[in-house]
Amino acid sequence: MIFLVIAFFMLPKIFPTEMTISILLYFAVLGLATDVLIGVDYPFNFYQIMDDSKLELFDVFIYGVNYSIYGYFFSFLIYKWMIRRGKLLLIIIYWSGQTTLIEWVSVKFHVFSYHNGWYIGYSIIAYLLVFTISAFVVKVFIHCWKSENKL
Amino acid sequence: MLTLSFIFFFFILLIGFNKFNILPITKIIPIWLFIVFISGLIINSVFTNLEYIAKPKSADSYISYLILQSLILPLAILFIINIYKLVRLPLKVATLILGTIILIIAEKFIEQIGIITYTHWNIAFSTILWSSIIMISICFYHFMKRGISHS
Repeated sequence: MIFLVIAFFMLPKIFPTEMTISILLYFAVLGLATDVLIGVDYPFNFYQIMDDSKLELFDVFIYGVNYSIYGYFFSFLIYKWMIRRGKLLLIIIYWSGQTTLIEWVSVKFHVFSYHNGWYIGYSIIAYLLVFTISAFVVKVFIHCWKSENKL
Repeated sequence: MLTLSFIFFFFILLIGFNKFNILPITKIIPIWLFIVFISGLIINSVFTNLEYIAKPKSADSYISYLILQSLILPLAILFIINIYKLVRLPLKVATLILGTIILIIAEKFIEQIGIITYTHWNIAFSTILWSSIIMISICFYHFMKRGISHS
């Protein structure tokens, strides 16, 4: 978490503050929504985080800091290199693979535990889907801020 | 059936919002995401930690709840922020009170049609919940307006 925060402040500021906040919030919402939808409790209960399905202060930091800054780096790459369709696909595959690797390490350290038939292969598909949608959302953000001459 | 009704209601509300709205899209996006994130955290802790309200347990009710929380609620609060921005000081307070009352009534309606079930919930909690969410959202709107224009 500390490494992510330091890296975030060390990156050059290429987005306007409003857009930075929007990107951070988008990935925080995405993390929270995914955990609520397919993770803990009803309807699917595919995985559990730590040893309790209840929301803890630590989870809020994970959503607000880890997920959001990690997503910000992904958005940074998309904008910084002005990635077009072909390269964008490679970045999505790379980012999904990297995220799956982080999840695999987390599972090994018992941060996550899978339930109801979920396994790492489904995670790869889920991440591919999530980062494809996220790349589209980031492109929409870029378009919105450009249309108001703020980027 | 409930899901379709809420989708229809959302689009009606969206059309009305487009005609009424005075906020630029670069303000709407972060405020929308902020409302979804904050309300998501608070409502999920009410569901899972406090267990004061039972989570919807059928597909139709659950999807309706998701539409309400991530689409209709932010739009309703953005309506309130628009009114808040338009009126002068004594009426700003009235807007907060009226907004809270409308959201309490909406929550009661949602309980009546069976989307959520109260276990240990009462109107005092509803008042605290909705007034807090509205006030936090308005504070965030001020932060976006003032904090960012100064940076």
